[in-house]
Amino acid sequence: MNRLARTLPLLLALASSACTDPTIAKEEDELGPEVAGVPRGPTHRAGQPCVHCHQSGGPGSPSFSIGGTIYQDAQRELPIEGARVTLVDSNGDSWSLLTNCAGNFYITESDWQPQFPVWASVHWSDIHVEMESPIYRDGACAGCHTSPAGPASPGHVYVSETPIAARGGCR
Amino acid sequence: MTRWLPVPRSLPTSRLLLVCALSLGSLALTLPGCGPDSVVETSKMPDEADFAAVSEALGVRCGSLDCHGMAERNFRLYGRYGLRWSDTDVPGGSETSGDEHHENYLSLISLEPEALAQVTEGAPVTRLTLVRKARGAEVHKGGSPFPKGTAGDSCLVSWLEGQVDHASCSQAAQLLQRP
Repeated sequence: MNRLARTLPLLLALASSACTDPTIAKEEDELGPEVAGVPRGPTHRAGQPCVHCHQSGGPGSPSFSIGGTIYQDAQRELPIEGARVTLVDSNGDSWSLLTNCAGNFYITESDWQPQFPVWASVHWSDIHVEMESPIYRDGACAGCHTSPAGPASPGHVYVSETPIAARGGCR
Repeated sequence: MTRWLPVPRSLPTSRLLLVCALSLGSLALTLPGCGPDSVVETSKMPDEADFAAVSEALGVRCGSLDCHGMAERNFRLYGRYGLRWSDTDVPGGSETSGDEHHENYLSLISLEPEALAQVTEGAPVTRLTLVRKARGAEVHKGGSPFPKGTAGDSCLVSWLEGQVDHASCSQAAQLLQRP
């Protein structure tokens, strides 16, 4: 009984760790904690790679096929609300939706599972921006588009090179 | 001009002798490796001279930031639409540079050097995992970017066989267009 009592916690720990994908767990750890004052939900973790948690086997629910954050301009990380994101997959199927106040958008796997590669564009007012190259496999925009721009990232996704008068921000 | 390293005054003579003996011993052990008895195997590799055309095609179809344009990849590719070699370049910025083509060449020939040498000597190109994955003949998370007989496949295979099909490479280096 005594031996069982000593080994049980170890067995439970091993069993629980076996259920967690270590790659996903590491990615989640690297993202850090939630921002204070922002509730978990559609507006949380703006600018982070949504699909890395919101995927099958990940801690986020529901699972997303594609998700990201759109900003107003190149220089500032000001979210844009109401920008229309359109995605077209290699079968020619498309999905279109608007960004929320955090600049976030996402498509759940139950809504649409695109056949990669996928082509993306963003439309706001009279501005239309096409992503130059297709997305080949990572549905998390911020998997590639991180700030600041550098050799491994083109920077955050934005609508305009210069400041625009757009809505954005949830407070 | 010969420079002598200063010997600390506090080093005892016995320790100094020990250091000298160890140094000479190490030198004696190293020398046979450089002599005529050492064996250095060299392998014939596909030519780098025409590789830029192949590199362009690989960069467009395989080298995006979410695929092989990642520093973590064994088969790491640099280029305009992915990871950049220069600290001052960004993805989507300037054209793929000569340095990037060179790095891509090194990346490719380092994957399976023995098999690649055999292919260069006339073995079937399917001996290479690279070709099998590109054709979709072997499991590849990125699908089959160069199915057999397509421009990309012709480009890659022609280079492996020693005569680059530039027309196919140019065609394969075009960005995929949305349907």
